[in-house]
Amino acid sequence: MMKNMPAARDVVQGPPPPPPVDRGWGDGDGNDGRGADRRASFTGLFVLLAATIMVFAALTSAFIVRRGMSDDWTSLHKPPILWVNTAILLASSFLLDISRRALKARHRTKFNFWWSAGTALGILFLVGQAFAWRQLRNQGVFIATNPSSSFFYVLTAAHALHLLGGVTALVYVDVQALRLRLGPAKRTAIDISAIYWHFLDALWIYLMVLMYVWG
Amino acid sequence: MRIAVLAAVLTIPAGAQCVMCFRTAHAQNQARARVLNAGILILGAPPLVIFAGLLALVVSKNREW
Amino acid sequence: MTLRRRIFSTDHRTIGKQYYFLGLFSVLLGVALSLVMRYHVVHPKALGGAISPELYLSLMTMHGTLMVFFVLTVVPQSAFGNYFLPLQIGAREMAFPRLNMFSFWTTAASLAVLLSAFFVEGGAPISGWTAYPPLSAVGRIAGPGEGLGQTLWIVSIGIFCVASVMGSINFVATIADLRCKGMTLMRMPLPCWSWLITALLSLLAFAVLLGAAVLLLLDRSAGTSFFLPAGLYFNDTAIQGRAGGSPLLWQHLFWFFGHPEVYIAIIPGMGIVSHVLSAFSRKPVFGYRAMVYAMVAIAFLGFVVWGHHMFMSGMSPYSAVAFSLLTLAIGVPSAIKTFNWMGTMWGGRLRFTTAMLFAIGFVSVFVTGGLSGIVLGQPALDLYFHDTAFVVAHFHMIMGVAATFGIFAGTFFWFPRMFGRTLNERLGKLHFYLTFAGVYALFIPMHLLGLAGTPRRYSDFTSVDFLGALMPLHRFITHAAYTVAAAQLIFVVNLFWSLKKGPRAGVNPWEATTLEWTDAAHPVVHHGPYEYSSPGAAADFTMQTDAPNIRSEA
Repeated sequence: MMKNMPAARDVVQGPPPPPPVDRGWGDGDGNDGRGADRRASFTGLFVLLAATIMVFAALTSAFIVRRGMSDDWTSLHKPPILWVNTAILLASSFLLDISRRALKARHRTKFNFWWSAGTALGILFLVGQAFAWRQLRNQGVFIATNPSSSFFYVLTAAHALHLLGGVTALVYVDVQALRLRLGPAKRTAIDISAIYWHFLDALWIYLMVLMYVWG
Repeated sequence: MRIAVLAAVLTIPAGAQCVMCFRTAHAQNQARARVLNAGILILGAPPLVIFAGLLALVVSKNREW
Repeated sequence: MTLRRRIFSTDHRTIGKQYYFLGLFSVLLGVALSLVMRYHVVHPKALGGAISPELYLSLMTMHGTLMVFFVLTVVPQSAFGNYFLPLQIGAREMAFPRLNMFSFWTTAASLAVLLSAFFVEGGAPISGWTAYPPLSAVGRIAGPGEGLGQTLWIVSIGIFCVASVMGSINFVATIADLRCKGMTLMRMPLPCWSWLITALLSLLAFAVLLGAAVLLLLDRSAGTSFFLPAGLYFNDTAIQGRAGGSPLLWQHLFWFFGHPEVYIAIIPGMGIVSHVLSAFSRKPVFGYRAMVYAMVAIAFLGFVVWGHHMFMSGMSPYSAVAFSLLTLAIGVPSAIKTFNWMGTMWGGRLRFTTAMLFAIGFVSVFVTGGLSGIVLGQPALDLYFHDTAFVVAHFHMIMGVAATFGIFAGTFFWFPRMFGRTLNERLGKLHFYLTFAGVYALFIPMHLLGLAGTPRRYSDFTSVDFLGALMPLHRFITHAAYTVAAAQLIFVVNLFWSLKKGPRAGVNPWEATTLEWTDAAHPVVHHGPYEYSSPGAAADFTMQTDAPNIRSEA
């Protein structure tokens, strides 16, 4: 039987198909054009968001169990600056959205301005968080003081770490924009960064609810 | 009273599978048990949703050429 | 190409090979550790008692950690996956090549940090690969290795989690978006499905482990009490200032990761075995769709059975029943897969290459290991078997043997594609037969040890009467272990010799159908992945890129 079989075949294809038309927003086909990069970037982002959700689900589960399994949980007095920080974070998201709309309407200068503003507010949020931690420390509340304070520091630090990554992405886009280097491929970077940022917003709201209602 | 109950329970050959588990279950503070169950659900439910969601995302990109 | 660009290559094939050799290095080290352990069990007083119980435990900890993370999580998924996923789906590269390079080097960094634990004061940790607190959370006072060693272990695992998530992002995005024209999901070879499902599992499981590891690290170094209850005593010293924490919390978090982890270790092997069995039976995979759905079901269920590692932790019997039923339910898709493997071979024109032998061997040891799992999945039986050698026998059979057979099958099958040469078949077959007989000789008696009540994680049984009486069985197992280890040297010799001197292979030496056996730059797919022996076809195999005919299915 085996001797009747033909030798291993190479695939003969003819010339490769022409590269897809680049319409700038990634409608291309196949795995040659920018379309694939754009689609893949979005998929990659969603996968990253899934992982982040799971990290915070694990921390939430630990939070609930630790709170309920012992009698030593005392409610933490949270520094009021957190409300200010929340407003700053939401505002930064809003500004990023304004900037994206400006870009769609082809107002590059407006885009640059609002994106930079949003980025600045994002950095301001992190500064505000540092202030919150300092205020807690001044009150003598440290990470080991009480399980509620432990979780406060862990959750806010985890969120801040993810936000730092977000700020890096925002700054990258900002720099590219200010250097007038926002070609079609960078549009994906803009969208990805913005969506990631909005996600961190939602995550922060969730953490605020968790900490104020159960913490 | 509890000891009497336990002694009675212990004489049943085919009772709960494990005396220690039975004891723990009965002696367990109901509230604490609920907390642990909540913790288990918080940990266990999101991955199912996320797994299904990501799988759905991948399948949605399945194209008939 | 400069050395720097070679080392930090973003080419998926280079990265796949890098992962493979990282895994090979780790497995050789892991085996060496196990040989020291086995020797010690049989000769506890050797070298004047140089191996203290704590040293034994540290060897055990590192053995487990190396094997589970750096061999079984890395090789089937990251090594074979990175190399062959793009090839099998007709993509030019993985979705994010630079991220891929980062993933590998982060994994390598994780290994370096882990191994550094051997060299610090106190040595490697003694808490097992499961690192249960309070032992792992109180620091140096708990024993040698529990100081800096344990901290390095936790940091290493944390780094590994990050690398894993990065890898998963790449895999999912590649499969979702970079399939070539004609490559629908149901035309993907089964390894691709296994890599997709494993990537999703990996993503969610390692995220939780990362959270848990951070909390453990804080308990050790920041004075928190996530896992530490009050009133702890270690070596007559009271642990002050900690209260309210729950060791049970760690167990839940860890095993929530730990159970999907074992499916991460085995599912790619299942994909590879399906792939190899089909090629060497000259028959399509029996029930391709069922195989896909079964893997999805196993992964899905795998998220909700972690409590079966904790039946003895004092959980409510109702929780135990829930976890048990779900655990036994996983037996159903696993059995479906087993029957389908047999169905694939049934009536086929079998070609008994070494890869095929390992694939068939996988089915055998998978069933054996799975059966002892069914036993352990019942709380009433686990009451007895928990923490005995029965558990050790079970997970070694299914992970140490079955998953490893998957790796061997993949190696022998894909070596020609990776290195352009074939491995020596004679040496391969000798390696297979010695290993196959050896692992059964090794692990079946271990079930008996467990049945007789031998506890696990003990370094010396001679001082306990009823355990000391089992020493002949221990000696037999140790002899088998050394024999199996020696047999692996045959493989190592075969591998390295064939790398340089093996006979050159053509593009498709096995006459297989899938895209990794072509050189097409822009493949277009018209056929399913396993069209072997199609009636009316010119040959007994139809490549996926062959011209369409009326028989090619959608």
